[in-house]
Amino acid sequence: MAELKHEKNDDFEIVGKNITQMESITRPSLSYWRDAWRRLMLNKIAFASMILIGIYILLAVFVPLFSKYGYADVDSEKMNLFISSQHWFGTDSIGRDLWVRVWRGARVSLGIGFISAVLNAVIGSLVGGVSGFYGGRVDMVIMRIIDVLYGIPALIVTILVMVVLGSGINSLIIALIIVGWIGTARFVRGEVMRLKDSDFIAAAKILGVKDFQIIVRHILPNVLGLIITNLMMAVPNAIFREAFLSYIGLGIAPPECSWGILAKEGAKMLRVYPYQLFIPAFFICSTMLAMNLFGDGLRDALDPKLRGTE
Amino acid sequence: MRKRWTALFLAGLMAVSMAGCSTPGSNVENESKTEEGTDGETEGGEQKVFRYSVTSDVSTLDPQKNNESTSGTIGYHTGEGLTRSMDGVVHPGLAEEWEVSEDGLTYTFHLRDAKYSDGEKITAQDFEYAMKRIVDPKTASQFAFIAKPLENADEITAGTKDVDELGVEAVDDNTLVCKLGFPAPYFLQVISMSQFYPTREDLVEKYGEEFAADGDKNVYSGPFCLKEWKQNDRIILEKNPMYWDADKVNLDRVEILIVADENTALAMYEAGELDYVNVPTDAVANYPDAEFYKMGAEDFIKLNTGDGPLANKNFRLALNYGLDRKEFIKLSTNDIWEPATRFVLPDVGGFEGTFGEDYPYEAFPLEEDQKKAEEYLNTALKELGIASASDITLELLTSDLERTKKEAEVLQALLGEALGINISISMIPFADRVERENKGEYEMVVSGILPDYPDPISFLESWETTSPYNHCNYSYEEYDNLLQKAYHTGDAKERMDTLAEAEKVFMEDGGLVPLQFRMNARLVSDKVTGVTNYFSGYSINFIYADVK
Amino acid sequence: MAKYILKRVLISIVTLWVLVTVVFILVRCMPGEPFQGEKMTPEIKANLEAYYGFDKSLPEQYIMYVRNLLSGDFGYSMKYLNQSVNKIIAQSFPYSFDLGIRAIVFSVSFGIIFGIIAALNRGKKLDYLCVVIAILGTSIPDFIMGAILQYLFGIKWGLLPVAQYLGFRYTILPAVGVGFYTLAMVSRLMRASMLEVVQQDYIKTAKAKGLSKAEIVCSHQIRNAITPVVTVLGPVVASILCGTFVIESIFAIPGMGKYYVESVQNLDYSLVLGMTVFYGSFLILSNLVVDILYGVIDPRIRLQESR
Repeated sequence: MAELKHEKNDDFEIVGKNITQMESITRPSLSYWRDAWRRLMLNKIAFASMILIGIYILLAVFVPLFSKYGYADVDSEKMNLFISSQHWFGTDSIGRDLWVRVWRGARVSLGIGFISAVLNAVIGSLVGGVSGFYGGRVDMVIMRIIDVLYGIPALIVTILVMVVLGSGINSLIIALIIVGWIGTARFVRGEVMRLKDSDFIAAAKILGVKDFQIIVRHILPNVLGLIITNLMMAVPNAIFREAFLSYIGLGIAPPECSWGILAKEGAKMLRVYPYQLFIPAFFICSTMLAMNLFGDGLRDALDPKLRGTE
Repeated sequence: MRKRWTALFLAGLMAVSMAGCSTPGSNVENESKTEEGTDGETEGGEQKVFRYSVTSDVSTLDPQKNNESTSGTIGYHTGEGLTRSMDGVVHPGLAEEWEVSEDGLTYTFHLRDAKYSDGEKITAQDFEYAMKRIVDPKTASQFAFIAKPLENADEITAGTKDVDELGVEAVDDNTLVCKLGFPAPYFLQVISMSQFYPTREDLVEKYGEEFAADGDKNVYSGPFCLKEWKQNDRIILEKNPMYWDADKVNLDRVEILIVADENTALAMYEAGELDYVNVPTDAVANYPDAEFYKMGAEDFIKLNTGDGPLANKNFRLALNYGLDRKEFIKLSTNDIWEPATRFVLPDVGGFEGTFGEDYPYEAFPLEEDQKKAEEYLNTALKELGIASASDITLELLTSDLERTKKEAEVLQALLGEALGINISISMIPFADRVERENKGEYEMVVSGILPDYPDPISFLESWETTSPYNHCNYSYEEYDNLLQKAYHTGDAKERMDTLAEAEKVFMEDGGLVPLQFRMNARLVSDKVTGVTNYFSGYSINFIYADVK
Repeated sequence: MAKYILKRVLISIVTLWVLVTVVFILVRCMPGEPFQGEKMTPEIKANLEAYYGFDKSLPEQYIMYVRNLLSGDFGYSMKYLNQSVNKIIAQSFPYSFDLGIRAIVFSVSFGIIFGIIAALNRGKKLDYLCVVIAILGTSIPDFIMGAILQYLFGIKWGLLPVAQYLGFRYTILPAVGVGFYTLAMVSRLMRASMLEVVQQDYIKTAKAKGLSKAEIVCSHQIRNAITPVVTVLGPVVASILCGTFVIESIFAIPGMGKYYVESVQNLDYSLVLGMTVFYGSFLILSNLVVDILYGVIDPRIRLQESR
């Protein structure tokens, strides 16, 4: 709380009279974000989740750099070894160290998950928001395009993109975005349509606030919570889709790996060497858990209606 | 608190009513499915039933269009050719006996009195029709090449000659004469394949495109009839009482389930739902009882010898000597498959015994020969004018199958380590891989051959300069000459000797990098006897199987 | 309302046509050859191309395809020779549909219940329990889920059949495998949406009117909270109904999902096209239903549309 007081003191500043600002009903956005951050920090679970994801990211960055084993070093003397002090997560069927591979895979999975989820959310919200807010003809056209895009099987698009750009992480992300933003757009459109008839938007309109301002100041904060919940779902979605593509054999080029590929290779060994499945599965699950709890915390923190309820 | 529970109860009720609403429609369907299932089982109590699984559905049961090994296996059991090949040995089939002319170009077959499953007589005309149907461009059979030995076959397929000019003629109902374009001692093997099974013109015309699409849309000349074919689910065979040798057939019914996941099939075997299963290589360690047999397929690194380092013979030999095949097999298949140190599968027919027995040969050592590899590499680098091996980067094309991916990863590591060259893996979908391979757009690709008939030529023919299957720009005069000699000699021994020499010449030129011969591990229920495996014509043979 | 529905139906038809055209072109752009084989000579290939009409120009093929399509003929598969695409769909769809219905009933009913329980007990143990279940569902990829379910229930404990699809007992594991992800998603959305609705003015109004908590929850909160769930459900339902490749292949179910992925991998043009058109029309239809439902469920949208 002491910290808080300090902040408040810094915030106060004599600004003088400003007619236009007095008339407008916007509030300083800085304090909205700061308030959200404060509330996020107060949420212990969300905070712990954030730390966990942070740790994973750090491990993903540093473990492959400093390990004595390479992620692609095969060794016929060390096939399918169980967890030991030499190999913290054991080795896989061609003698590669799984500790290194898990963190090498984390780079790919987390990278693909975050980048594509964020881009999906941004593109989807923009399109969905515009479609929902303006309605009418714009909405019609956009929705028709979305319907068509949605009907085109993701698999075909993915294969096409992967082949045109060459199999790899970038093409995978692009493929995921091309397929992925549509869901967000539909969802955001629904929310915006619901919101735009609400009273506070009507009030803002009556006061002559510009469309852009309405979207940024009123609609966005109100849908942001749901978008973020959605985004947090999109991260596992992206990781899943990557895993699915690996499952049908369309993932990234070997010997590069991802959690999905490790889990897939492990699933085949379930009956013989279960640890090869459970280790990558644990990381997929714990990441999802953390993402979801963090997402929940963020949602609560960003919800303007929950401001000051704590 | 009580109110909240009311809400929950209501919500729950809603869910239950939803479930109640939507199940009946599907229930009807399900009940009928269950009935079918149990029906079979209750009958099966008295009958002798053999159950096994395959990983993918058959593509077609139209004999002449048949184009893959599962179709071949089903065909093998539901039909019969002039000859029947069993474990690579030719036995009389629907032809009781035959004569071959001196020059090896004319075959005269005498048919036995046999009937189709619908009771009609099997005539020589049906065989003539079948052979013509294979090569007819209108049939568009992917396996049209299989009839190549018959006179004019290739020209008819290419559309330059009329179908009637094919070298086959039914002299009368029981006599068939085949004229070959060149002496092909393996012709008797070829005609045992399902493409050459007698086919009824009246049925083909009656059903058109749908011919053989269902059990009742064809008739059967073999030990079993196709009773039911539920796509991607199951194929049911029943004993064919009209089969000429039906007395020797013990099974009443065969259920072939289509189970894509090998681990699922294994689980079903353990649950007693299957009598026979192939164990996935990763799980073999857990099943000491598993019996091994060769699948007949050979894998190798196909090299595009058109240009670059791979056009250099010494470089190709460096690859061959640098690869530790023992290590490769251990890593990629857990020591289950067999390392290949020569090109031709030793189990194909030779002159007296198998090819391997008649012509033992080890082209490359099992383990790497570091010294030789370095020698060849250094010579190659000099010839190519490249300073260091690390300046060479080769692309290894691989399909997206789990197995081929693993092989590529192992090869990348092993070859990179042994020779100091860089290998980049390019993983693409299978269909794409085949196309790029056939267009010659690759440097190295892990490819394989499953011989259509057990003769060395199945392996060797694709590297002849003029071969339509030569997709690697390979051209070596000495090799071409040997193959031509083998094609045109009428003497069986001389032919085999020449083919063995051709293999040697090809290997000494480093034409490709042989990797492995595929093996299968099988588990068979104690109740079942007499199920055998072979690699050509069928993968599993249960004609004479019995169930206790 | 009738006019609105008619308009939507017309638009859906146009969408379908665009879809057919786009996919027709896309499929032909895919790299690779439908006719594979090590021993494919140019002559044999030419014969096959002639057989399937690929020797004609693309526009001609397109016109032919659309004409056949209008008469309900999807043509013959190029991998499964002699099998018409119509027959393949007719045989495989019922399995996927049956499995899908079960998965949807399972996931939506339990998902909504869990969501409601979680929201009503926000911050309490019950909430966390539901959240954990939901997270487990969204955090395990279906191929791991399927493999583990099959291993535990089918092999290790022998409680349920390992594979195939022959009766109710056979449907449980695959339905759970397919539905668990959706269950988790629905419950999360439902929870978020319930919490959202609690803040709305009409709930306050209802409270002020003196309605009981149960009445508020049932007739206001749940009804309004379901809206965003329905939006997400449309496409999910269609994709579930058309089969999930992974579960179908693990449990050896002869459904559509398996064919679909396989046909893409085999470049079986006619099967890919046929399945896509079927799947696409299913999606478009379900979106249509969702849009109409949306109007029925949310009174404000209905009002706006009729204006």
